[in-house]
Amino acid sequence: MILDYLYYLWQAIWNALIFNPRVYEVVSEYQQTFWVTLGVAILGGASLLIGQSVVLFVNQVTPARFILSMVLNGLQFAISLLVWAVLLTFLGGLIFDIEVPFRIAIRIMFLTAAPMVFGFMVLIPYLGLTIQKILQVWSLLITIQIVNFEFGTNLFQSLIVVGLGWLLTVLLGSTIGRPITALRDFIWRKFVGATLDADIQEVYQRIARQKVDQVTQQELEAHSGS
Amino acid sequence: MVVNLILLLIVGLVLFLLILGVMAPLESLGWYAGWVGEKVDKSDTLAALSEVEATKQPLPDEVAHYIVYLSGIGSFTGSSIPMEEPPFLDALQANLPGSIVIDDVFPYSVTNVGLTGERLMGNVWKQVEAIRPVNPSSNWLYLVVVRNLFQVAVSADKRYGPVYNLGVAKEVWRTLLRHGYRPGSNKPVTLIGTSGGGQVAVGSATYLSTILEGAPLRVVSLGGVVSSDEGLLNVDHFYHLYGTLDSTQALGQKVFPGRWPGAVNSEWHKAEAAGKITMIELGPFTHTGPGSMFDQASVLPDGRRHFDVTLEKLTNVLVTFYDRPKETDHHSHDPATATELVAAEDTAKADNNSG
Repeated sequence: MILDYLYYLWQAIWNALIFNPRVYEVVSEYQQTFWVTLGVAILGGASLLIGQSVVLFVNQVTPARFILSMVLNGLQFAISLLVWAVLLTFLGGLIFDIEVPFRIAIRIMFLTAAPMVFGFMVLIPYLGLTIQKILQVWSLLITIQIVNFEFGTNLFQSLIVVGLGWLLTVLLGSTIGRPITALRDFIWRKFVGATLDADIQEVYQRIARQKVDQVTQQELEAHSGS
Repeated sequence: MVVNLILLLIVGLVLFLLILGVMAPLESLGWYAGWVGEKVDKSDTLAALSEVEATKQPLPDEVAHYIVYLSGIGSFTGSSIPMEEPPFLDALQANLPGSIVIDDVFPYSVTNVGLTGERLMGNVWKQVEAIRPVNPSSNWLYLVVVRNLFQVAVSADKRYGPVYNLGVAKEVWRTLLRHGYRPGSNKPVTLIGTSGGGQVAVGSATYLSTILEGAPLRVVSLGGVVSSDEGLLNVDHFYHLYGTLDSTQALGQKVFPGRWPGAVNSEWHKAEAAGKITMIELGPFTHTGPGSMFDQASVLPDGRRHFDVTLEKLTNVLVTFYDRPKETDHHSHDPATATELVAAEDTAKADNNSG
């Protein structure tokens, strides 16, 4: 059962990565693919968190909370894709007058997380940030292909829909999205002890001083005792 | 069949590098988060201290200048460094009687635990280390080079650099204290970094300058691969001694965008504009092996050994500041003036030799 699930998960990730449009057809057709595509989204979000985990380490979270934060980030990522699906469905319907069932749109949109499965590679020193950009562009290309599949648009029209969707996200994020952001931060603080937007420099200064003072005290005490 | 095998090897190699790359920052991040304890390998330091006593080196109170040597990426621990370096350090120490040359910091670990210390892969590294005396050019030694190279990248990465460099600065500080340095003594400190050690030296200088509370701090890079690091702005001066045939040190200005000519607001260019950077050409030296700056067999057309030229120029840089008769207070030394002195001495020597 689990092996079957992992097999389908791998199939969904691989086919999304290689831009195989057949995967969208299968996902549209079979309702039970929801759990597979949700798996892609959560896995992508969790992997991306590993790649961006420096903020968690700097905030000195415990290993248990680190794992919890991976799950949280996976869920948060899935929710953000859900919002994307709503926005793109709304915009597509508005511009092209094509109704795409919401549940199908969500399933397909989860597939855009496929490149983020490699998000853990963002950890690689120096190359990591470039890898992150590549993954983001890869994910964007899948999104454009999805819009093209759902609404039968050409590349230019797909770009407009995705661009408008992005603008709408920014607009919503700075208006009615604020309470949601506050709720998200509350949940992160409650369960992880830090938010992903923590001021790293401030934390560095504080902890750096502690660590150096500790060494100075240890060594000077050892010296005076000898 | 052969093609498949080659493909498999390439895929395997890429996967191996990916795993090493992903794991690279975890040691320092884990230490910072408190996941990994402070298992400091004291054996190196204790051995060095007993050596100091045995050879009747100056007592800490008589030491006017502390020099900490950070080896290149071929090192396994603070003391297990490439074989051509210990004789060089001994000669440097002999040239600088008022200074102490400390070489027991392993710059590729935030806890100063060498690769052959208490580590998961410690036994594997011990076996690789055992190959070096038998076959110094063995391909197995590239394993340690790649491993340490990723740590240099961690030091240069703006995300992890502050954590990593703090860890190394803390260990440099620890070893300075063990060798008799006292907080508030205001005694000058110089970090010498070879190859990747140059980057780690510059990176850790940011924290060391704060820890030293105003005491003079300088960094000397010996063929170092150095990024545009904030540490350049926090040292009194940065010297880069390089060989003209050393393409590895030249990588620094290619792979680090902050050193590109257009990056005018980078730390490198700001330090350069402030007169904090001096580039000193050693001669037609390579990075490692025959023809390198530590090579005792290779000689220049004028008959001087590479080893001696490097020693002389490095000693000049260090002596200019601290081991000269006390005609002026070392705090008031102007790096520009010192640079001129070094340059003048070099010119004088070159004139003598040519004459």
